[in-house]
Amino acid sequence: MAARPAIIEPDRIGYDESSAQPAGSSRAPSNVSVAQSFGTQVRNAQMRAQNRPASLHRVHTLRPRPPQIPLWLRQLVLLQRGSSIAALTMGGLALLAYSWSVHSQRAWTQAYTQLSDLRRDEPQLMRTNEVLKEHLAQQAEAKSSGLIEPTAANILYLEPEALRPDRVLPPAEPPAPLEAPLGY
Amino acid sequence: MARTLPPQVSQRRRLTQPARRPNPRPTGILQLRLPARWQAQLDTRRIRLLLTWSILVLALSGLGLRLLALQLFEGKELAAMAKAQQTVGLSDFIPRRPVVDRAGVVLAVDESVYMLYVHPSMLSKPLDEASQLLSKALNLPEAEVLKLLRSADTGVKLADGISENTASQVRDLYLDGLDFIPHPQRFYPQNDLFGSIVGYVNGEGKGQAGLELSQEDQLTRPGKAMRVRRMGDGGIIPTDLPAGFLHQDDLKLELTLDRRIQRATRIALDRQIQNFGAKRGTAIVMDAADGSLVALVVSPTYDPNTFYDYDVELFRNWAVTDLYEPGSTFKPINVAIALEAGVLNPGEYIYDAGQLIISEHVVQNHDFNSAGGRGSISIPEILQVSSNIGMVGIVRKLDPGNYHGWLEKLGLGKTVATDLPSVPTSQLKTLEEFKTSPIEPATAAFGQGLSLTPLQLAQLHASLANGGKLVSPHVVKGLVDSTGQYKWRPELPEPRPVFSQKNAQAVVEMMETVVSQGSGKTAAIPGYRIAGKTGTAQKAENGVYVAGARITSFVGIVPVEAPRYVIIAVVDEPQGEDAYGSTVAAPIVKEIMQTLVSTMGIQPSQPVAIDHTGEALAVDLHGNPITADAHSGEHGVD
Repeated sequence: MAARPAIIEPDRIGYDESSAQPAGSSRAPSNVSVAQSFGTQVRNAQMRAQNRPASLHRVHTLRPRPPQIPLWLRQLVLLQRGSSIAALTMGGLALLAYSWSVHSQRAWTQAYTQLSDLRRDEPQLMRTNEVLKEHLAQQAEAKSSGLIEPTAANILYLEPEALRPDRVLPPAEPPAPLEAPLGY
Repeated sequence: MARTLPPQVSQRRRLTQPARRPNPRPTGILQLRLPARWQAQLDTRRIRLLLTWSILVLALSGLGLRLLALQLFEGKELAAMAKAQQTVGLSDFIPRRPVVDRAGVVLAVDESVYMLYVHPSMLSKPLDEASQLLSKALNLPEAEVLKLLRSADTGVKLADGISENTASQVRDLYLDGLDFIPHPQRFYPQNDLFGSIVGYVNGEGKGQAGLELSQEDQLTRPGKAMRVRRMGDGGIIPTDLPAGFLHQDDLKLELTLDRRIQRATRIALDRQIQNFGAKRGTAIVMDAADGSLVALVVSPTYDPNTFYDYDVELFRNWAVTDLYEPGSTFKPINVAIALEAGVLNPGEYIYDAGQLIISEHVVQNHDFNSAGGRGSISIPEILQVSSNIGMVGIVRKLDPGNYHGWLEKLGLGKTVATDLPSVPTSQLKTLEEFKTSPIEPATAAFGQGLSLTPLQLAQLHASLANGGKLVSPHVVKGLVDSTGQYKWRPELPEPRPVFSQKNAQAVVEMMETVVSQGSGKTAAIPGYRIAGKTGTAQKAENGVYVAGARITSFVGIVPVEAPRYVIIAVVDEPQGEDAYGSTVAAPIVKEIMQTLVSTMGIQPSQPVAIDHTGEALAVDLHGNPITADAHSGEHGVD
């Protein structure tokens, strides 16, 4: 096959450009396989063209048919693509989940430390607050503080005033219609 | 598509096509036929490759063997070691819940203090320098610290009870080799003010007295010490934490007490105890509506922060645990019984002979020697002058069995239902004794021959104040969370009706005359309607009256128009001739009421003109002119 000279240039019959070879050049096995893969129709056409008398030497343009890929293969290809996308997404998600788990653990530890600090501080603050109050109370007890105990005698009771009825305003008089145009 | 390509295009493509090289034949290394020079080079390479390969294989198999050994043979021990290193007991202690008063003032709170252990061999500084720094931070003598540090290489206990502040100061010295072991310590900010009620906890954190003992279940936070796993940096691994790890409730034990009134009560009581050189005293302020205690003071008392410095005797709250003969303060209760039993009219007159002989026992009024018999007197007058014979006359209208039944109905001879610990059973003579010996109901008429606690007496008077219901005296309001929701409330017995509203109020109004005209004048506050009753009794010990030893008391109810608060003051063994319920106990109750009315916002019953000292001018509470004589009237006694 490689030795057979090509009469019709592949370009002319609409070969794919990538597989086109200049006439007369020796074909690499790979090129042959590519040419083969286009089916026998092309070759038949070439044969016919060779054997045809000159008057009938008309070149027919043959359009390549789309390659016949079996359904199962197409489905497999689709599956492959789908699964690649899924794998990529899942890889991304796994990375996210991992980073989140590391981050949340750290954040949790920080928050927990804060919580334990607060729990430790709470009774401290309670204590300090009450000690201060107690100290003030003891100071107030001392005669020299100048404070006196609340007794009935120094407490004022104010009677809450009864609610006054709402004051009814006289209805506002409608503004007199303008007799002169507003403007100077 | 064009049939032919222009020549230039073909030309260009030809030029751009790379030159094709023959594909190398796929052959193995060993099959290559190469020049001898190359062959020699390849041999060395092969040897090197083999060498490297064998080293790697050896290393890998070594690792494999080690892995095998670690996993199969040492695995269990190592796992145990790792677990021991990683897990730590996290909750070494769970703090007890705080105790707060009705306004949220903290009365008891757990704080963590530290025990400091030093490992001298691990200290980052020389011993003398370290001891100098430590002694300064801990406020200990330097020589002593140095001696301790030299005593051992590790585990020297240097100090205990170090506060959080001091501990962080010591930590900031960065000495290494220091171990702080935290443990809880109960702190009572008001020192001895609430000691007799709240109680104290021992070194193991267990309640030993007061509410700390009786409310142990409420004060202890549930939960056990948890073990958690830690990471290398000390952080906790949050994934396998035990359930409820973070949950620590914010509940507090709320009491019905009020710190301000408690303080005023303590001041008033202590002053009179000091004035009369009394042995001890107690004062109770009770909200009659539900039996909640607003203040309960016992003096002398103890500071629960340093309970170990006090006599064990002081840990007992004798207002709750000790029985005494109430004496004349029990008379209004007897009047209420007679009214309720239907044998007495409020307007009735009773004949007071001043003295009676009942089955060979002489019973007389306290003032028989000076005043003699009073003749026919009204019931309010009996209370005003505290006539014993008048009371005997009232009680004699009742059948002894019936009277005994009434006393039992009021809870005498039983235990008061309360949340304070160690409540005794009050004492009452048996029904048999009441029936066979007429002296028993006669002495019970003026509050002798029966004994109860000051708390129970407050409960009985509360039943007069609240319209006849026997309420349970209590101090615990419940467990409250930080949003003010009650998560637990004590189950108290339902108030038990014993008197009718009408009779209870009638007795309170009779008691009002005791303060306005009788022996309780010393408790009067201008503008307020106050009911009261004095009591002075000889002290009985083991059934024998102790000569010269008295127990004085006063019961006050305020305000009479809508009775709400019952105040009781009992002073034990006041010294001096002038020591009576009216002189010792009534001023205490008056002072407490002064604070009570101003704190609780109890308005005066009617406005009165007062001078700057708070004494009424011109008119008394009934609008009558006050003369100098009436105002400074003598202290009534009973």
